[in-house]
Amino acid sequence: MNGVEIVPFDPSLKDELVEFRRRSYETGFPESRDYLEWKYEQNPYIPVPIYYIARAGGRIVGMRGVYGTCWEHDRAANATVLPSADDWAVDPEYRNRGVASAIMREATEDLAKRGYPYALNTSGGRITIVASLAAGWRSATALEPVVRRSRNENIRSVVRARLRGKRGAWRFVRSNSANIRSSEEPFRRMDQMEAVRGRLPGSMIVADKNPRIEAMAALIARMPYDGRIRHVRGTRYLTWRYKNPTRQHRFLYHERDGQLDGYLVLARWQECQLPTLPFHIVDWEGIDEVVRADLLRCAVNTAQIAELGMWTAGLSNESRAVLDEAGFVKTDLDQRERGMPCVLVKQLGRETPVTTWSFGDGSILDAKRWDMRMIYTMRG
Amino acid sequence: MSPHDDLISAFATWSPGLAHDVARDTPLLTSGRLDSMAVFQLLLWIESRVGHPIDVTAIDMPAQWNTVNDIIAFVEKERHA
Repeated sequence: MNGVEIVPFDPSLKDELVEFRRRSYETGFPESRDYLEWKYEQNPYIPVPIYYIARAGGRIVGMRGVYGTCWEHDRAANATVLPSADDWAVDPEYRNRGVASAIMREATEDLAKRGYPYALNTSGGRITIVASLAAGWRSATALEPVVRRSRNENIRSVVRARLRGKRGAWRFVRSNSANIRSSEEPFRRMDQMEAVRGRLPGSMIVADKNPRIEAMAALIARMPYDGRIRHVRGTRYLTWRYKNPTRQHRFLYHERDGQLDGYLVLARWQECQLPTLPFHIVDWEGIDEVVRADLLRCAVNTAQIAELGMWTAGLSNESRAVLDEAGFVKTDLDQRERGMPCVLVKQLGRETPVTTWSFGDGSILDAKRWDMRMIYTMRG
Repeated sequence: MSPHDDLISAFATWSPGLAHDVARDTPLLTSGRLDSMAVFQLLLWIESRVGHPIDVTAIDMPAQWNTVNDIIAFVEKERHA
């Protein structure tokens, strides 16, 4: 790796880094700077930006960012901050020259020195996942994507699948496909929604553009917790999380007697590249299945989204049945066959057998211990 | 052409630099010689040889795919599984 050095982040590199990421991800919108500042500088758990930067010939040729996450992992709700790796890019001129490996080697050594037991990657695409597994990361749980398609979209989807041919489609990575701007109509419909009665006596469902941080955190705190691994959702986290400048959110609240009994959050990529779906349910809570089912039905009927995605990893059988009934079906079958998408874990600081990778009350690699939501990741 | 040589030739199509100095026992994954796209191409190459998708999360890639010899042994095992 002649002439390439891995350096830590220095504020003097910020402008160049913002531009490097913007170019690598072909985004341009929203502004790369806003996104990086939100994710790495305003993060509630690791507020000092951590980037590992490869430089050669006086310029940046590779980067990886690490932002803070915080996970509850036992019945006592003890929580541990874990670094989550993201924003991985290498200049095309420098690929297959060990730059990516050198960045990750430096990252894992440095994160171990900082005292973190594991690093996560919760948002990796298929190439990042395969490359990470090759570098010794392990899958903790598959995320099991589902989608609900409108009738018209179902027809289009079948045609697309036939055009793609047999097994070929998955073979070719999306390359330089232009960003598409997603429809604003579903959220317009949400904004015009009037309060809807729920099935429980005295209950109402209302839509809002804004997160009710205190009420959402209070609901999560008062609901029973089964000790599975889940992200902390206190006020500090929720306040930060719903400021992601690349996403728009709409909130459905289920209220009864002035108290929040449940909520459902829809997220929209303002711009995205196919095959990424523009709309997802990123969080879904309720004191029982009636509340959750009412919220889901209201979201589906009101927003009328052509393709609405979600992850089902960690959901109860009852919640899965509610999704089935609403018309959600398994999707990304080619990826599912390969165990993707998934949460990736890398042990830091030592190399012990995977059977010893413990976290809280059990193994961090036990899929049954994860209660995943899309909002815990940068997909949400 | 042996499957080993077939794989080594395939490296050259993924990235010209990769075909040089790759012997059957050269560490590929633990050395970091394959970048992310090349590892992905390797997965596709293996799937084309075994005839079915591989659940990559269920295997220990650095242990099972580290060298050309490892990879061909993996392919043979999968084909007869």
